[in-house]
Amino acid sequence: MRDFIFIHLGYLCSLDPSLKDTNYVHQQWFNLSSSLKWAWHTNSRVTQLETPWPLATTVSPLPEITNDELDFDTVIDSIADEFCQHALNSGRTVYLNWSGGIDSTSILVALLRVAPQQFLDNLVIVTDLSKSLNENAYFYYRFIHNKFEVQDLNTFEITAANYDQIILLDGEGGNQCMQGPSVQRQLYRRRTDLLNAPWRSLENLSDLLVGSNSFHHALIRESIDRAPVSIDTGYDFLWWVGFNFKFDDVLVRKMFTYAKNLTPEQTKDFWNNGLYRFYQHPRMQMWSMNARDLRRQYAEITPKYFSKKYIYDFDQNDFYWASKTEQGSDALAFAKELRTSTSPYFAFDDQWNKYSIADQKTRQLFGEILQRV
Amino acid sequence: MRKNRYSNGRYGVVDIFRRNIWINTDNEAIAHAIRKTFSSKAGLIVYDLSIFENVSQDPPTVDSDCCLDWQIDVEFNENVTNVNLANPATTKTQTQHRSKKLINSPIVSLLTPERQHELQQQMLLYAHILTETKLHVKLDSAEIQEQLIRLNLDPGTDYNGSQFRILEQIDRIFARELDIADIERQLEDLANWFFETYPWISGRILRALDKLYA
Repeated sequence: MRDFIFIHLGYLCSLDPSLKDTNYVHQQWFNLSSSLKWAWHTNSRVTQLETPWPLATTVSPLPEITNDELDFDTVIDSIADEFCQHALNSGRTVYLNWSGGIDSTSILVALLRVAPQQFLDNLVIVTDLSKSLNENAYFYYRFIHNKFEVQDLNTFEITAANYDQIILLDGEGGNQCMQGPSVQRQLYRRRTDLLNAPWRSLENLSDLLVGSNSFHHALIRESIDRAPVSIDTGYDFLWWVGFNFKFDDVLVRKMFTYAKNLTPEQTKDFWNNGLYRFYQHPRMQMWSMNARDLRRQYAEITPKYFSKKYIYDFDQNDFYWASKTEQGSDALAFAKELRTSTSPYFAFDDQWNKYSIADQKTRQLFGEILQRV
Repeated sequence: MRKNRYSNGRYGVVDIFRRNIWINTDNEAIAHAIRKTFSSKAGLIVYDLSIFENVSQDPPTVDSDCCLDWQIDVEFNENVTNVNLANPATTKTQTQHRSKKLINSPIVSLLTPERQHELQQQMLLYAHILTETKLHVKLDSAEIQEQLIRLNLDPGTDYNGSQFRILEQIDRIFARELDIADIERQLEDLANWFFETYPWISGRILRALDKLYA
């Protein structure tokens, strides 16, 4: 049996709700999702979780901190510059999955700022206009419409014919580097007292991480002991939950759609060579770790201050800068691959084999793993 | 000098993060149309302001002259803190709040007062366009026939289809432009473009812009 890099526990629960019953031996893993915005797939980047199933180590180990750069603009510009050179050298066509949200827009801004014309001439924007125009119509019409080739996200496919000819960019990891929805929830509630307080001084961590229980807290505390930076405030705590426990989830979850037409070997190749995340880049993760005090201070001004300011400095859209709130990730669009009856896949192992709930052997395997037989 | 438009009414279009009231109108459908069309400029949610004890309609406590000085208190209902296109809770009119009073205080905003006023005026213009044209109202077949007869149009005219096409273009203008001068200019161009085909709708748009006789 191979180790799993992704198991959609929510999918399993939707088929078998009794996985959450208090008298089920492994219910605590399935009840992790009781905390709002917890990952569908849980992994820790600094600790080995004692899951009932064989769990692979993280697909994205924490980078060692080798600089103390605090300027977001410098970091994202440098990543874009490096990426453009890489892409041009590869000879592949670059596709940017642009949702209109803050993360993918910041990536496109970085490219527009630094990319050579040769790169921009071949950049393709993949988007669902019915959604992205609701997010940022101004940016689309000002910077994308009639300037780039645009493909419909709903018909875009990665196939055996193109998986090794393209590089796909998306904004996954942005929330985890910036702050995450749990922080936004407390900002919305004007609970900056919780965000600024030492988390260890809080009587009830469930006030901070809404919906969490003692199992969450135990996992988080253990991981904090291994964190490469000090986790002091409530803000740090919430950021760390996403940065440590949800990073694998957001990086892998779209692979069910991206790789639906690919063999395991092709999927592995695409993962390694055809998929690129600015917010996974070591320098971005370093910035995220180094700049947590800055991010906490500026979060009160506007959520995701630094990436929004970066966009505003470029496009001067003050309405988006001042008032735009974070909408749901377009991962929802990809989630249809997990939730529709035509897509029974719910797990990947470390060799990129997909596991289908429709497969009897898979069900038997998980029945044994989960002690359901 | 640009005309400052006016609006009051029961339904407040509220900024979901800052909680100020951008505009209030007596037409719930128009309030939601504003919410959708301006979603790329602000996260918005519609409240029934009658649930607040310190709001009256006669005389109006809250109207477009002062609504920017009013805000809604913090809400802890998780359903409406999860701003998400797929969250149906934020697409419905809110009829409950833990606090029974509006707060009479302007918000702290990253927008200058002038730009707050600009965004509000854009919403007011949009509301005025919809009020004049009824483009947001989907007519049933009997109403369509009545309208076609009244306008002396061909009985086979796809009235709802034409409404949709024009409304879609109007929505796009309001969504993508940052300044009302550009919005008004493009709306005027749109109306003139469609005048031969849909004269009544185009005429009403121009009337809303005070350009019908210009």
